[in-house]
Amino acid sequence: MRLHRCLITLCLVLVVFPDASAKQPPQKPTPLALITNWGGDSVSLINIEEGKELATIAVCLKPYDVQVEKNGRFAYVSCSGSDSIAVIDIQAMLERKDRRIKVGESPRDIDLTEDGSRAVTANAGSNTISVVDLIQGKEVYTVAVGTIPYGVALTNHDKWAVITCWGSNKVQLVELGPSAGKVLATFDVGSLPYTAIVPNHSDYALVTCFGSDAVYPINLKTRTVGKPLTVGRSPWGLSSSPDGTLAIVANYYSGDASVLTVVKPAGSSPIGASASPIRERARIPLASPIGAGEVAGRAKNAAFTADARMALVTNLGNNEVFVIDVEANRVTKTIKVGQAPYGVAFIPRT
Amino acid sequence: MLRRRAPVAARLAVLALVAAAAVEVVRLPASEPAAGGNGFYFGEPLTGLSPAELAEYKEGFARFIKIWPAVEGARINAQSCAACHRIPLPGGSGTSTDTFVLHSTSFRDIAGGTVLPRFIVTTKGVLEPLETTRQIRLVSRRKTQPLFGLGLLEAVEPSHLTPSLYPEGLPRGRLPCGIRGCGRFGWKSAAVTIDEFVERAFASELGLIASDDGSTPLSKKDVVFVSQFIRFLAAPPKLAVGDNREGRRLFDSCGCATCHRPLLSTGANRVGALAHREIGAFTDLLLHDMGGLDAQDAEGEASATEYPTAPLWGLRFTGPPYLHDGRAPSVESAIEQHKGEASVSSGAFQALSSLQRDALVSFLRSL
Repeated sequence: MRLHRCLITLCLVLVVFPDASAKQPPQKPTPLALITNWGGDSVSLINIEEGKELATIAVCLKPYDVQVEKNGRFAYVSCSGSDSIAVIDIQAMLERKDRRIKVGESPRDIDLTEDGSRAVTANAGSNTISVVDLIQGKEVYTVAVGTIPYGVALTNHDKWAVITCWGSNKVQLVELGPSAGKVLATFDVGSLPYTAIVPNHSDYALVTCFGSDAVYPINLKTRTVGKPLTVGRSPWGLSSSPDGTLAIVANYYSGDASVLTVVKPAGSSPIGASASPIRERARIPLASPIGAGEVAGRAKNAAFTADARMALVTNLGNNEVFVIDVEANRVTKTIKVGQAPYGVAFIPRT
Repeated sequence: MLRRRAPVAARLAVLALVAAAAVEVVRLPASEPAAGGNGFYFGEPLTGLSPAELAEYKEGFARFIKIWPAVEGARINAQSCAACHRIPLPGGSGTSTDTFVLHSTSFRDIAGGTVLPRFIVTTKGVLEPLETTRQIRLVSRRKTQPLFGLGLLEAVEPSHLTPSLYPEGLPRGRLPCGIRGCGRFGWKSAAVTIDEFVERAFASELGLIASDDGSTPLSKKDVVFVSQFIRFLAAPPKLAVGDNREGRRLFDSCGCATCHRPLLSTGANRVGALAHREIGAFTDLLLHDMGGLDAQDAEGEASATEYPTAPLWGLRFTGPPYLHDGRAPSVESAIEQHKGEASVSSGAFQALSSLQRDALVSFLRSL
């Protein structure tokens, strides 16, 4: 077991930290991703090329979301059962328990600033967001927001956070200062808004509304809500490609994933408030072979690889992850992970 | 002549043996039927519902997640059912303190219960914190209970809910029966039916009394739809792992299965999906004296120290925290804090080796 862990660590060191002095051809994105197992109090390391789970890391109670630093050194996990952020040392494949950071009650989604110095969590149990200094390992301040905040997405310049208020069907735009923050605007959206993203180079935030079967676009420049796009039943998780041109939606009850194209504004001109920046390019069925037949998945969350050719969608119904070929619009393999896989994040190549 | 009493440990050991022997009567095969089935998660409708029943489930879901208008002057805790019943999905439990409900025996809410409202709705529709809550004494708190599988529990044959005839010192339990019938729902079994449970919750938590004359935003049909949504929610999915025979054996030998009965059966029911099914809820639905767990919390037929046996299905997703008021940070702690009729089983658990305790807890987390 110890040897197994050493080999995994060695592989990770080689993949995540290649010799910077050596000249290398353009590299493929890493096939390594972390999955939070909400029901199993653990994080799985998977390799999507090999199609298997490489290791399981014991973490905090009820790990919900995960984000990885751009340099691939540490991962940050929101611990919804212990009101904290767990810090995973990716080389060592261990949680650094000495670096556990206390935040508000029942933290859900987590997002990192571009430079990786700060994190923001949406604290569903205390109706706040926590802004955390990751260098010093402590909460800097909290901001009171709407009812039951679940989703958080930082805008491209990290000055604002888009927060979904699951319990009041609203989305809030929060200004993030060095030592305090404030709510700038509140938007009415559909029922049960779970996840928010701000695609790269976009003026829009996109929000999944579980109870309305739709994705709501919010124009952050004009501060208006655009026409919602109907997707599959009960959209939950949402992720965008690194270049911001694609998004993928995990549709929970219909057991499929919607691939969206996201319009990129030309130059600095914003998209008109009435035009929708998104359209559904494909809907990919997600089914697991169970017993003699197939059962539609229960899609929770999604993530793209760095080149956006592949995507992952977690399946709560069968404790697994679907690997999707985005260009072919089909599932290529499934990977078994721990109980109730909620969060997913790729480990970037440095 | 004074009779010398045996040491406590020895008495516990003897009682545990008696309990285990008694449990043999209800012992079942190591593998219970799956409560939900592989491929499913929480919040699914029961399999086998008719199209009309499925339509009612969907109508009820829409009302369950709806944010209801705040009526001026109403004293409330929330504006939607899902605001508290949300973990891991609508219909579930509440695990954070904002979902805990305060109770007081010296207070009567508009439904005749003991729920203390936290907010009052102002003329502008704003929710202001109610200061009176702080002034009322004898306040206890209760965690939001999960609703998965409640229709199946409602459909359990009354003949299955019989108090045990175990020797003194072992759990016996009693049916919480009053003039309205026998209670099955809520932390104190105060509600006899799901419909009553929903009606009381709308009144005491959301400040809404159902009416068909348009005087309130809530119609009687709304209550029926929400009740049907809850009634048709499937049981929590059982974890698809290999049988934990050692954990199950220890569950029996510690006497846990005396009250947390592994299997119950539903009887005849007009809803086909609820009729004649064996369910692995791990409860006997009886009230038991839990000693000093919370000496201030009496309601309905249940005395301050009595609680119905909590179903253990889906336990891994209903906490932390655990127990009725969220006082236990872990499953182990919850077992250790069982008192009264459960003292023997709790003592037997604490006497297990570390490995055995892990096996038992692992079994509980697979339900």
